Amino acid sequence: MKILKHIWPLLFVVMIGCEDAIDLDVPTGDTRVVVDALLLDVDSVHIVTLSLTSPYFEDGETPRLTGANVKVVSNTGDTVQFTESTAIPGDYIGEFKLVDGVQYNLDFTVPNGTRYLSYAEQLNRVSPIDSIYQSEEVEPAQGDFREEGYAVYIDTYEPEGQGDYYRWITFINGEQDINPFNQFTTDDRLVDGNPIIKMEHARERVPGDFVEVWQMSISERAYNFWNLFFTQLTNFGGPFDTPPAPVEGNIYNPTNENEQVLGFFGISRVSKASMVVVQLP
Amino acid sequence: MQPLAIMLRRYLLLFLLSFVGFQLLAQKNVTISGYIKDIESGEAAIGATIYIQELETGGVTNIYGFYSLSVPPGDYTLVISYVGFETITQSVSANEDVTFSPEIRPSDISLDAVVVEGEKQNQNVTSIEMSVEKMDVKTIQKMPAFLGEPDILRSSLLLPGVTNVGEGAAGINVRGGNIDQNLILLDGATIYSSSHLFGFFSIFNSDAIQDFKLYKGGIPAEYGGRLSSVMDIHQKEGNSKKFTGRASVSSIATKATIEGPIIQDKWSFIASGRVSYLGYLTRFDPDSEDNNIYFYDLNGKTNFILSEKDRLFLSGYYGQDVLAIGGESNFRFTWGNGTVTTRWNHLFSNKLFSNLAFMYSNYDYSLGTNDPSFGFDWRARIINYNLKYDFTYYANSNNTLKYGVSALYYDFRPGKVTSVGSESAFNGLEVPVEKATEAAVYISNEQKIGTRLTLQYGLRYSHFFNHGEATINLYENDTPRNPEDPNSFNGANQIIGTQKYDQWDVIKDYGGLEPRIAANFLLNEFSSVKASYNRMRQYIHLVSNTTASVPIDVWKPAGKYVQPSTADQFAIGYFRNFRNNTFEFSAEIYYKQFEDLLDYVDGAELVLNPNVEQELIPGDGQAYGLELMFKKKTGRTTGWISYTLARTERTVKGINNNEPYPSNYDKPHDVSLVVFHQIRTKWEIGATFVYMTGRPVTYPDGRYQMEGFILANYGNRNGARMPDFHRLDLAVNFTPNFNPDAKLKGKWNLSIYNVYARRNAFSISFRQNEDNPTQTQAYQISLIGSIVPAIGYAVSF
Repeated sequence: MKILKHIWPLLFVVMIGCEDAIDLDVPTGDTRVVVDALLLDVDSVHIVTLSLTSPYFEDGETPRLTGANVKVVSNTGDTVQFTESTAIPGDYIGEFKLVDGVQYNLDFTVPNGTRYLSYAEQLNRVSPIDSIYQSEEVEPAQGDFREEGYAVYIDTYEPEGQGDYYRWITFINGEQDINPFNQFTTDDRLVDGNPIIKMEHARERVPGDFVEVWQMSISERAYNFWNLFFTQLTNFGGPFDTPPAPVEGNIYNPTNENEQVLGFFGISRVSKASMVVVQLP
Repeated sequence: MQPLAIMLRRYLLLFLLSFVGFQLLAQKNVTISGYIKDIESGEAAIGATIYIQELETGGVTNIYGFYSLSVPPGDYTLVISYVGFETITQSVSANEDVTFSPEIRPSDISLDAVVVEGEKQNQNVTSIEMSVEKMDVKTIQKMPAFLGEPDILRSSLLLPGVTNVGEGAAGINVRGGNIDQNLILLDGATIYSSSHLFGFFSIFNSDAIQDFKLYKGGIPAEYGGRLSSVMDIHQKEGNSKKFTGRASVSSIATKATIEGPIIQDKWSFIASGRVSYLGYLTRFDPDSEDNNIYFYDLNGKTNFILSEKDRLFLSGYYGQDVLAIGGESNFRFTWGNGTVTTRWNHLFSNKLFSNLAFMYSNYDYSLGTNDPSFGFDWRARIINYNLKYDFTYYANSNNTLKYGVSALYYDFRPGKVTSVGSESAFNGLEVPVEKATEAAVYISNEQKIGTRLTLQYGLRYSHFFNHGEATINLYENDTPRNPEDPNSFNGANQIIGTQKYDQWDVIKDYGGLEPRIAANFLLNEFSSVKASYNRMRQYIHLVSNTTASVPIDVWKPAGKYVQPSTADQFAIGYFRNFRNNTFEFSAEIYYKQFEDLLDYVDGAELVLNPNVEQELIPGDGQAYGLELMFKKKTGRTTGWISYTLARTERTVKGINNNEPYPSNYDKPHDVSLVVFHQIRTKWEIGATFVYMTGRPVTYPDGRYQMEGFILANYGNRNGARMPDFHRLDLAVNFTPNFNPDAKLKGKWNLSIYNVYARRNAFSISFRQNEDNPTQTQAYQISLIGSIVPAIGYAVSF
């Protein structure tokens, strides 16, 4: 429960708690294939990144999976062949425009001959971001919770009819904000058909910061995936954590259903809005 | 669908038949019966022993202080003994039925270092009870306490077989049971959430409580509805002799209590209040002055002796936690319990004791914000009415029969959200309301066979109806998840429609027998062997998948898609007293098998989810262990040492590759040491030391990258362990004016929690290093990682 995860630091301070970085030995399991792919309606060039798991405490980038044969297949019979980037091994690049109502599957074979498939993904409706704006005054620091600065908000609306799922990504000066507590996903159960006003997407911003917000409509499966993914990332060891669990994506090995394949092949429509934070009197 | 009324009528008939039947039993003997009371306060002495020297037999008072002994006509010498009280010996002439209601005086150990205790202080050896722990509030108040606030639930963690997931976690785990498997009764009313401040304190104000009794096994037939334990907590009745009061200040709360007679010896009352001021601590941080957190409790009870045969009790509790986080969003969160108990004790004859009780219990919470864009108000509650009629029939000197009926009505309101403000992005949402009725009938007999063997055999039959008015989901294949692969992405089945049920229409019902058997074989006056078996059924579950339960967790009844759980427990024990009952020793082993416990799919959304059944997976479990206890009850130095060796496992399809995994609170080794020492009349010290295996933790077996996030890929659930947990706490109690005739008596209490400031691990978690996101790091959290001294003062008159 997100709300409680925000309450918990308050209690922690009161309860003279303390946190220590510790050294541990952890086991290393089988190496698994990881898919990182988000194909957007606004793009005509798409990237599928394949990589492998590494031991938990091995620093640096995880190894890339190179030399794979990567395709995206549609239910209309089209196949798009992806080619591996020479500049960045493990990135596979394909060119095509996503089409409404068409279902797409990822289909790739790794050098050892194992073939992997994804479940189908397709484009869903998304409303535009009506406006993006900053707070009227500098917000004061709030202890350990936030530093001084401007907040950035968006106004949008949720279209009538349940069954929409959302994910927002914020970029600050061109960099994706990867603070686990700033990641938002939601379904429309509680907000169906309503205007969404003054939704905060950035805080602690200073004049000159360039803030871009992506509003994406994702599939139910993608929502479940990212939801569990971010829940795991926000498990900080507090009393309100949920059990650590492997995050199941939408990729599988058709000849060995028990093989754990990580990551997600996602397709989404996106509405983008951006602004430069200015100094207000 | 069978109408509920027909089923209820059937139970009532069954019950009436049994009631008439016992009245027809022949009687030749005469009866000595009565109430045993504290001479100073008029409070009932619960569990006091009455021993007839000539017959070498006796009995024990029930929770209202009543006893009844069936004897051949004659003159007898009765010995009344009760822990903490002076033993009295008195002659009673019983040529016909007589009433004997002695008043006993608390023993003052300061007057005499070595108190000669009554000869029959071996009740732990001779009674049928096993796996039972008792603690009176005087003991709890002497113990070192976190922030100086004595706490019943925290103190119970020092008993063998009782653990929790960590310091500050809500609830207790008894012999491998989940926290929702404890029937916590406050004057008979069920408590659905026993925690203040997310678990750091319990809702039981020690000044309003007399004692508690915890059944970990061998649970008598009159109790049911939970798998693992019964914690029966009694509020004080109020002094029926004179007005007294008590006020105290600890580092976290202030309490005030007043009690006294309304009509001398007939009608008494007690009222007690407690309010915490933890909120002021949060304000030491100047940036969080708008934040506040506090709790309060109100307890009250009145006790009216109508006649020799009739007594009325009315008691109540109300408590709340309030959390407010300031700023523009103005977030507020409150939660709490309220209970009301009314009871009528009636003696149909001096052999037949009855208790008719009606209890109301409510737990609710509400949270919300007035934020202009995201204003909402979210409320949930569980309401429960319970009608009980219990009888004890003291048939003859060898048989004591207990029987009764109980009906519980539940109203579950798992969550309703309304939007606040015209601009709010939120719609209203209500998780469907559920209603249920739980009926039970029981009978048990405690029988003495010869001088050595005592048997208790009982049977409880419970039946649960999940009924309308309700609307429930219908799923394809008639099940919310694929039972073959319940934890996979494809596991959820589609909703194909809904079905509406009218008021009292039964949606689904479950029922079954619950045998309760116990035996005690006396080896000699100082030692015995006991054994017990009990089957328990539980029809409601707390839906929670967080490390510690949170106040927003809601209860879910068994129904069309959720099974009730059952547990079978076998226990065998050896009980031995030494040195004329100065020392008590016990060793017990138990084995417990659980079926149909709730577990959760990975990433389950459990709150505000109208289709929450889609997030649940049934699982089984087992627990077994050895509990050793060595206790010194009398003298200047008292206390106990206990050791528990235990395992608790869960097996759930779809979790941990279907392999058994240790439960979150599995702690194989658990040692507790509790010592009190009276130095001089004015000074007393207390010390507690605990040592236990660290609780299980899930380690990652690799990491992977997506969009710059690095995520741990977790391996075997609970496959590793945190470092061992140990802690020493000390308390010093100083009573400057010990004169028993003093008008005002003050008492200082100094508590030092975590004396050697050990950073015990509450959790170990894994994440990206904040400064260098390409690095991953393990972090250990200690909730109370330093020494916590506290001082308190109490004054009583």
